Amino acid sequence: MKKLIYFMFLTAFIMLVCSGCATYQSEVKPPQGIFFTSIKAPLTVNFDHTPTNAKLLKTSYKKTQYFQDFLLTWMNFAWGDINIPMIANKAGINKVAYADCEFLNILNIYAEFKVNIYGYADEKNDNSPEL
Amino acid sequence: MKNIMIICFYLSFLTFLLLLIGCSILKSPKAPVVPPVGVFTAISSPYSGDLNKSIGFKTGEAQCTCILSLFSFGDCSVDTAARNGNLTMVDYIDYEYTNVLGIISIFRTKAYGSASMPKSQHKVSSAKQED
Repeated sequence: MKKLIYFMFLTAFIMLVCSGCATYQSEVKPPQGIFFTSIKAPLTVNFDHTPTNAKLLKTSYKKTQYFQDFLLTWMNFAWGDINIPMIANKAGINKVAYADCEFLNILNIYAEFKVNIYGYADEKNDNSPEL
Repeated sequence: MKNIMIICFYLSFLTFLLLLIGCSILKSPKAPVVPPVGVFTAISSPYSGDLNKSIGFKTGEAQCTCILSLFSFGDCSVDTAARNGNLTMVDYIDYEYTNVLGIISIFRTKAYGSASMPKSQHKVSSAKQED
């Protein structure tokens, strides 16, 4: 009986820790798994004749990361930078059409949040449509 | 008497666990507009109420799946929905959410638009041909 109680409280403690902060806040959030999540979802929801054709440039080289040290300190660390204007400028995108996000979460120990930006390099002689 | 105590203990423990996991079985997806959801859910809802525009009739879909609230995967981004529907312009998006007892949840993004090019692009393309 004692072993069972210990086991139950240990499980509860792990659940308490695992149900922590390794998630994200966004306007759109599909259902997520407790153990594993790998989803891609819209970040912007207002579309009005927004082009989605193959001429759109896509960039997504920036992401934020999250890590929980579950062995020693149980502390969680998060770092990264997903500043949309900066990403767009570096990729040469002057007109951002829309954006979506990718979220990866493994056992609430490691998580990644990535923003994909789609847009046009708006040059004077470019044939990109007006957004 | 001892058996009743054990059953009570189990039930309180299960309630505790249910609270810890954030009742994710009944947890609704996050979106700007979410109607009431239940154990059995099959809803379709808009992402936004901005409707002062023409909406194309072509549609494309992309979906994310969540199994047992433990594992979640898929790509329900607008980009993928547009690609699946061969859309070159997206005018509007909404979503469908299906949940069966928390065993399987499906979140599907639907993009509405057209396969035609925007007017400005026609103009630029034709101008280039003239050159």
